Amino acid sequence: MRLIIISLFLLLFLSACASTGPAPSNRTPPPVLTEVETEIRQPASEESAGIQVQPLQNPAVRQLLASASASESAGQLEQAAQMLERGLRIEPRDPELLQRMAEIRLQQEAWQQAISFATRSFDMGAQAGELCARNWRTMALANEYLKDPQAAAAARTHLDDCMRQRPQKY
Amino acid sequence: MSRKKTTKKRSKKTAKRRLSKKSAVAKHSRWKLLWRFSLFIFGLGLGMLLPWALILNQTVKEGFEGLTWERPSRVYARPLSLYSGLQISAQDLETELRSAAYRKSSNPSIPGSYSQQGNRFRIISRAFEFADGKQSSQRIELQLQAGVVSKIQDIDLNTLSLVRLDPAEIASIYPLDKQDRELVPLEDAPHLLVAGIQAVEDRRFNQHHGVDPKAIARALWVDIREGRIEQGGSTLTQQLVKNLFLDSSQTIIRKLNEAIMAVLMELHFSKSEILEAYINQVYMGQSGAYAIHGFARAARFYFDQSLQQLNTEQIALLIGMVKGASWYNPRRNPERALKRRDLVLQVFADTGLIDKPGLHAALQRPLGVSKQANGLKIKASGFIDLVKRQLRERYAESDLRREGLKILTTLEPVTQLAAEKAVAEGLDDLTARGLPKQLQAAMIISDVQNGEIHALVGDRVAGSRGFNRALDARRQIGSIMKPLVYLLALEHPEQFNLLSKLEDTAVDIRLANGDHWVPKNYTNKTHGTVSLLDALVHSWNLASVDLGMKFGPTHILQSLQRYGLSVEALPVPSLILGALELTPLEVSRIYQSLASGGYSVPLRAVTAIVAEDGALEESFRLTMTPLQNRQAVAVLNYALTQVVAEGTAQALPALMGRPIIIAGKTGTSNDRKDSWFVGYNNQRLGVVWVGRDDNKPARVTGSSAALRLWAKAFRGLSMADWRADYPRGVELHWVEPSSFSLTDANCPDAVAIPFINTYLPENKSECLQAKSTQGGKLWNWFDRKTKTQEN
Repeated sequence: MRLIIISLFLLLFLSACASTGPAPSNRTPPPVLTEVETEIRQPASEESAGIQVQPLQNPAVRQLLASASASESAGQLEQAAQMLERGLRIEPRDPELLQRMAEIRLQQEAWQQAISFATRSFDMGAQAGELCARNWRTMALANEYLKDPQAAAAARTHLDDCMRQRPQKY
Repeated sequence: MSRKKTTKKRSKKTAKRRLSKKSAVAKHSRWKLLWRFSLFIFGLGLGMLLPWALILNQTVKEGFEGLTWERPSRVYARPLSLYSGLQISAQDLETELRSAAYRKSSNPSIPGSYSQQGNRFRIISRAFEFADGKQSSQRIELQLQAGVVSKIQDIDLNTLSLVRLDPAEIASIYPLDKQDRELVPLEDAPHLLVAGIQAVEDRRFNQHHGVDPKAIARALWVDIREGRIEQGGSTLTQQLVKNLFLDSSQTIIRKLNEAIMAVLMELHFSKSEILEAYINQVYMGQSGAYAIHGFARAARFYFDQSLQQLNTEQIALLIGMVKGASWYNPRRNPERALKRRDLVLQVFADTGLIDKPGLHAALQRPLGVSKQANGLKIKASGFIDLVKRQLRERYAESDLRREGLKILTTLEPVTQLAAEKAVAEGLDDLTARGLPKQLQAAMIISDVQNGEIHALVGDRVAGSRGFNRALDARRQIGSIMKPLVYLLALEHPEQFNLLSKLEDTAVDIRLANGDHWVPKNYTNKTHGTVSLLDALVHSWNLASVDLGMKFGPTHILQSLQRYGLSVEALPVPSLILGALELTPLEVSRIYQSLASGGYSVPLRAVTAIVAEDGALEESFRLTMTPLQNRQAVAVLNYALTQVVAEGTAQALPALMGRPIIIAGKTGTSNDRKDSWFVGYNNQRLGVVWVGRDDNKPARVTGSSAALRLWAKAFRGLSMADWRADYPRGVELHWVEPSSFSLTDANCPDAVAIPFINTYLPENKSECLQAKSTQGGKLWNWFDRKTKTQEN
């Protein structure tokens, strides 16, 4: 039953992608900040309702993540990145930190680095649920900016796996 | 001077002559003449003085307006972040604190001090401008338990999740004039300092116009009474003028110039501008080749403290030292300095700056000057060398010398000290074991995940500024090349896995130039058909040549480019065995990407540069590039843990004094000229080279020399076991190595080793064949994992 619901949801989502999905050629950077919200965080959160993976986090890392969020909202991206780097010194494999860094790099228009950090986050993470969706959505979006529609499309196909697989590592 | 004297003489003569005629008229005309003459002299003086004053005026105006002090840049270690769960021993925490010039006290009350009772620390950090903003001073209580931070609280007993201490200052990049200075705006200077300096040096500063006739008269009186020139009577303005524009000779002309310039300065500039310049310019002593100028730097130099944090008697001492910074040097002449300080304190009390109880309390206290070698002065000259090189790519040398930048680096004091000690003592040990005295070494310890360099040693003598071997010694890498060749093979899982067969037999390879290359194993023995795993673990040359020749030297050379290295080497077969010269830094760069599981991260020594005003000048971002061969890297890393477990580096646990799982590789070059060891876990990577500068045979091997230094350095550092974290598509399978076949967990000699995807050995062990017929089933991942651990 759940599989059907998820599949239906995915179908809806994919069709939405097809109709309203951004065309890579006529993009003009950058209201990337809002895009990180509308094209990565929100949909990932919606898609993954029910497949939540929330690993335990070091309180120090939690504090730094909160500071990074505050800086990000204030538009201080470099400061946010500094906070995340501090977090990564403590927990270099924390997938949330890595993904947040990917999202900051995206806003800083460092597309290749956004892809790198999202890849690393995926490798280190549960490879399922919301974070997984954010990983692939970041890679898709960054590839669109890099004018590589093929890679972007390939990234989007992985979104299915995020919803299908059960969390294994935590 | 001379001009005045002659006029006086002449007028005396005239007077004599006229006095003989004793008439009123004569008297009258004589006075008239005198008056005229005086007028003439006055006019002459004025006529000459005016242009002179104009010249001085120009000097003062332009000199003071264009006054920009060159401020040295400061280089800082990485700040220590304290949080629950951090692994750090009490001893290491103390080392960190001491290297950041924290003072131990039974009752810490000022920033930059701490107390320790066993595992309990009370620390007051100093304020610091970090790349992500200013952080104020914090008072914390910290509890350690079995080498781990178990609790951090503030004074109200609130739990703190994260505290960052201000970092150790490890070096300065000085202006060429060798003045060491830290600028402080007047409004940031403590009130007591600003008022106190006036009370002691120039009480009527706010009333006079540059020169204080009353003070001069008083000084003159004292000088006459004492019969020598001692009292200055100079105003602060005069002192400033003297420091900025004049030499220190005691001539009348100089004094006159000083007075005129002081008046001119007051004409053009405000009292606060003058005062601000004064507190930043005043000479406060000597630190080696560098002159300490200004109170702010003096506060750091004498008290390891910011100016704002100084207490009454410390301010009094600094003000007292203005009179003679070397005469009253509190380190060399403590008694004299104490007397002078107490005198200044008395002046403070007399002028109402402090009250009676305050005076008495301050008089009771000691000088409170830090020892110059307070705790640990980290030398790290090899590391600083790297920092400067990285900075030079973006900054002009002159800017570094004058802009007062804060350079935040990645150096870990504890790690650096451990590395320096390991190199110095390790080489001495080797010499004691009969190896040549001329042995040299290099060591680099870096963070596997973010590429930050924690420690770098380029000479056996810490602090030596000569040849930096970590960066510049290009040496043959020997067998530490082999893993890169094996990695190439593992990248083709359809052809190679750890159980693939290689021939460890004698070969004779005909080279392009007609020569023959006949490599040998280290022991001169051959081992026949061996597994790829065994060949790497035991570093067998012939099997490695067998593997390498399947790819060819050209291909191997090309593969090095993905580590960002442009290597100049000939594509000859001996490349497989490491006939290639690299620096320890380059080796670190290659192995960083292996240790991180296939993420190439540039090595960094500098993380950020902060301008004097706290603005982020530049940040050197963390960047990474995922390599395409992460599965192969994971398999290779397993093989390299076996090098330490049972291969050429198996002495490591004994040298470390504890069982440990580390991935590593030894390397020895031809004729035993170079000894290498590369070892890592998921956090840290250590690269060590040992050899002779003249490249003569050093009678070293990877396991005899470099491995020992590595073990010495990491013995005292926290180093967790290697944690295999296999990416998707890499799985452990049970094998029977002797028959190169798959087997079952319950079969004899079963070992679990990683394979990529479904590319498994085709053979099945006899035991497995027997089981399969009984309907054996696949073990699930978790079961396998548990069994591996049991093994």
